[in-house]
Amino acid sequence: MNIGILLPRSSAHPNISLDFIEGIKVYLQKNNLSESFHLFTENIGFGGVEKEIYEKAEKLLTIDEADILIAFLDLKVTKILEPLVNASGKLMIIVNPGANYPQNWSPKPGIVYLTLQHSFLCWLTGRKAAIGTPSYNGLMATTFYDCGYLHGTAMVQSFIKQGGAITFNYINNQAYDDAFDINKLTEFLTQDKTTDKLLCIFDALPASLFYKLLNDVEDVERLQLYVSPMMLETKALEGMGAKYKFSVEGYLPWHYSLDHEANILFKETMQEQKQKIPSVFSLLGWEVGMLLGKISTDCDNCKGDGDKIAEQLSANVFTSPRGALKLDRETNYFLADPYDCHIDSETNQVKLQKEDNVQVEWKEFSNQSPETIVTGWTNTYLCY
Amino acid sequence: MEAQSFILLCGNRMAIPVMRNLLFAKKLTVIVIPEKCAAFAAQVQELIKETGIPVLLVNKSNCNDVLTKTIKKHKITIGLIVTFSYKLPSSVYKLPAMGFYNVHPGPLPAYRGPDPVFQQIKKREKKAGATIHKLDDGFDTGEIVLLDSVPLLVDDTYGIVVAKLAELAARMVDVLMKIGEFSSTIPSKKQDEEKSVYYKKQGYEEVRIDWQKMNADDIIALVNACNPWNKGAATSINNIPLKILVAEKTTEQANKQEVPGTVISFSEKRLLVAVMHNDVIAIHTVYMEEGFMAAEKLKQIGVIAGSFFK
Repeated sequence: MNIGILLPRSSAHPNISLDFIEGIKVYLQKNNLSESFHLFTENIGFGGVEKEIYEKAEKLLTIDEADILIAFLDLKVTKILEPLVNASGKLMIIVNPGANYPQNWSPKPGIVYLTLQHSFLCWLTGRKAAIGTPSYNGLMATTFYDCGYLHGTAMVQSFIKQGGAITFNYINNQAYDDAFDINKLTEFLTQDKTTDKLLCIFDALPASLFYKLLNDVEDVERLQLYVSPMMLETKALEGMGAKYKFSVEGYLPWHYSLDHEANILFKETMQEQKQKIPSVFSLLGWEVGMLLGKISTDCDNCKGDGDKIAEQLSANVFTSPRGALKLDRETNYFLADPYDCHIDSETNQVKLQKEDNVQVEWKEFSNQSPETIVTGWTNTYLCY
Repeated sequence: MEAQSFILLCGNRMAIPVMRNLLFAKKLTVIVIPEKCAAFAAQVQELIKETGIPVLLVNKSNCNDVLTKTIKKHKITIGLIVTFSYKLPSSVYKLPAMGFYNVHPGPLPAYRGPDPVFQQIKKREKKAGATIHKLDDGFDTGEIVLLDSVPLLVDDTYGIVVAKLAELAARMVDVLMKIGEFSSTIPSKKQDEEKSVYYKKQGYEEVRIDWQKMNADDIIALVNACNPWNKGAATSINNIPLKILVAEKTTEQANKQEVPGTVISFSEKRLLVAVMHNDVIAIHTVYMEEGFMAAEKLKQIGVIAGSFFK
């Protein structure tokens, strides 16, 4: 079976492409499936140039005769591929961090979405920030880059929906280097003592800078941070050099330290074959490998019928390193239960607890869409 | 690659967002409107008067000639139809280099026919779809380029759904424009004939409430499907014909002996009416020859608790 893959590039996460493709290959090799698939790859840079993406997808489908198209792409640009995929009858698996969510959740025939669920997790985080606490004043803190995706809307909307009020929006537009400061934010916090919840969305590198600077702010012990998944990544948390004086909570789709069987197998196999600690991008690759494996065994009679393959996939629960992964046919998004996280103030380590049965919350989340005109970055989140 | 040049054939307001996006992309060359849609033509001429884009008015007898000459004269590369009442022959729809496309306000092939918006609301679909398809010799039978949908809410009227679909169509046409830029061919897929359904234009029987056979949800859907174009769903009371324009299902329950269509009471300017399964609907606004009015005004024509809708 020929597999066409549109691969991203990222200066901030230079291993994104390599980790992803290795995740696929390692899974296939571990399961003796390498011979069953021929992988054809095309690099699409940061994923923001529609013409380039279209031409490369067209090449993979027509010249390389891909039976399945794997597109590591943001939602905003996948729209242009729909007619191409529809006309070919092939399955397209769209992979991305999930920082955006669609204006229209209606499933498209032959297109499924495998993401890190960032928007949904931010939506859960915003809700968590508001529920069961005496104070409802919060502020949004983010960067000019990070605020260009709908995960911010998801977090703020769920916070407001539960009774929270946003008192200040802080958007940092500085380079992520020694000159990085959060002065405008600290000025506000000094003046306003009623706002103690910080809804934060930062990629890992600015998150580490942000944590450090915030830790030195006066009276910081009163602050509670509710953060996006990238702020709970090891890269964001390491290098603090001191104990966190404020609380940090959020959700993760997966964490290296998970000790269930599927994750141990994932970590050991990555170590064995690539001598590497896997990343979230390796996880996405591994999961794509799982889907391909299932397609190769169960979907022999579905060739050229992407929607039939999607239907077959929906009949399965995949034992992923992040937990049970299931295709929701109402949206064609794969869904896994996430992990409720906080940073342990003693150890500075992330503590995780599985959040079971989020289907109700997912239903609520996926029943809503952005109500206003949506603008933002076209490149895939984390590809910059 | 040759620069894109669109001809837009249209006949009502559903085309306005598409027109806006084509203008914004500087790809709209000519607009063609049937003479019989004079009010719409005047609206369009006013909207685009600064652009210098010609608006051609056609009738059934000169349409093909005008289109043929115009497409050749302006070197049109893509033809686009958004609600246009004349069928084009292959000699016309094959003229543009990249083809002629129709924006159909319904999902194909499940909703073929002249008014898929009415049918989708009446059938209580959860989503209202739109399709861009290539023109061929049939009605709504050409190969599909794009299919998309918007949520259809239980209180969405025909007018609201048209507005939603018009914006959806504009976004879909954006995709069509981009693909036309990126490639020399626009990909499309044959329709699955086994899934095709053709709905004729609805007649009186389809817009009339059958109180004995329709449940509350069906009645509300029909009322919404007829608002505003038909001034509501048709019915009569005390032998006076009227149309129900705005109504909603309530959580109240009627007595078991109430026959469907029985007026239960007047309440807060609404008229409460028993329907099948002892459900109750509240009628807010009606239309009669005397005009549009709150349902409580029906008191003045002798409607009382116990009167029947037929």
